[in-house]
Amino acid sequence: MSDSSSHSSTGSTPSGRTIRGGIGRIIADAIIVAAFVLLLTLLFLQTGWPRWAFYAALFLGVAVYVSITRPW
Amino acid sequence: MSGETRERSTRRLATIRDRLDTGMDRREFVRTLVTGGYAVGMAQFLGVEDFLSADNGDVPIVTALVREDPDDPWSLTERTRYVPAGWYAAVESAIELNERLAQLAFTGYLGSAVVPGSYQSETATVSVGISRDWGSVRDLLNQLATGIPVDIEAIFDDGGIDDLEDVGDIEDADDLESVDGIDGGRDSFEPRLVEDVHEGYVPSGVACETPTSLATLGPALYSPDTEQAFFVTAEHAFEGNPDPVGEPVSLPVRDSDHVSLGTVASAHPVEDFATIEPTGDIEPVSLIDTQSPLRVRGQYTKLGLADLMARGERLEKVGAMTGHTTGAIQGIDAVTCFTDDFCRYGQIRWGGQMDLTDGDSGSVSFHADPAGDDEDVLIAGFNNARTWWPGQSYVWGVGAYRLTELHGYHF
Repeated sequence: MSDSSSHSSTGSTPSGRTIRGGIGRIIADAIIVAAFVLLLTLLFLQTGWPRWAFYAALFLGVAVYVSITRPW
Repeated sequence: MSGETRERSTRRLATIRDRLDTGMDRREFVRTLVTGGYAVGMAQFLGVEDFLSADNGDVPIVTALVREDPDDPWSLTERTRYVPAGWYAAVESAIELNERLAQLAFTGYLGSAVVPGSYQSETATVSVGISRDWGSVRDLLNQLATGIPVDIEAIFDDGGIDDLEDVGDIEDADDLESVDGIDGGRDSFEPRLVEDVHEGYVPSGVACETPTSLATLGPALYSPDTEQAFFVTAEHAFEGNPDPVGEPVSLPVRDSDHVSLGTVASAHPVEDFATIEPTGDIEPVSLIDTQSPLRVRGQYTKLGLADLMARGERLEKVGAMTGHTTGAIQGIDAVTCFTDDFCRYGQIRWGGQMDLTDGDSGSVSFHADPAGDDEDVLIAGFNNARTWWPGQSYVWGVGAYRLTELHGYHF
């Protein structure tokens, strides 16, 4: 268990290693999530999918992003 | 195909599964909430609600400018509504065609109006009035219209605009009843006079007097430039005076003396309205005189009027002579060129010849505010004239949105 967590903390994105300190990671999160929202917005603008799908995709995306990246 | 990639992705998936298996601890939960909130905020900032809340094929239109606070005329906010995109496209192209026709103002053109169809039909037509030269004009219209249905409404084979006076009665300065003639009025209407001026205000829908004639007082008109409230009535009520600025306007009171309202601050002959700066003790108010007074909460936009017409809603008015009447909307964004040597734009056509008579000019057409209180209404425009000839009968006047576009005034 401890092995797997240390593995994921070192083996995940290189940016996680280079950006030191919580603030750096929060800024990275902000930029990545903003890009994700923008992408999602453009996608929904083009396809005209319903509102519930937009918010479902938004929260699902955030949940997945949070669970696969290192905590603050 | 590429086993290595697949292996790597399975490994990554396994790591994710491990992380998910450990469950969401509190820090992670908080982070999800914060990030989620940020994402939603970002989405709102990008304006996703504007298109998300639309059903398939719906587009938002601004239908009205409405006061958030009924007592604060400066708290105007836009009200939107979702309408079928097909209908919107049809109305927009009809408006464009209508504008093009008015710009061309070809020989024989008397005016035109946009007639939006129902939402189900997803159509809009342009109704065009023509005086002569049927054949060539029809060809020209067909060239211009390109797919937009055009109704040709009134055609007179020989002679031109002069003939209109014979078949229609166009209320203009010459027709306006003089003050002396009120008692023996042609339509034998008694003007609605205020009983008494209570609490220093007077509602719209009662008679007011200019030096030469009697007209209807409109509800308060606001000028955002000077943050001032004005009384308002029809400009043609100052007949024979090319520049009525400074002329006094008074209020006849039943069984009493006249009360001074103010003096004309600005006159707009094309839009046919005059603003009157209050100089006496009476202040302009946003009320309309019915059995229980109606409160003006704002005004409709051009597309708001199109929306009303698509839904078959009716307009109301309270005139000093004919009182409170209602009628169906017949056309919006209309152009009328048959009364003067210039054209009037942004007109509303509604009701019938019975809805207006001499002395009703200056009254406003309105419709209940669907989202407001019971007594709240939104203004459509002024009622300044009526026209009837075979197959046509309507009241017309400038739309409130036109005054806002040109001069900034609003109700």
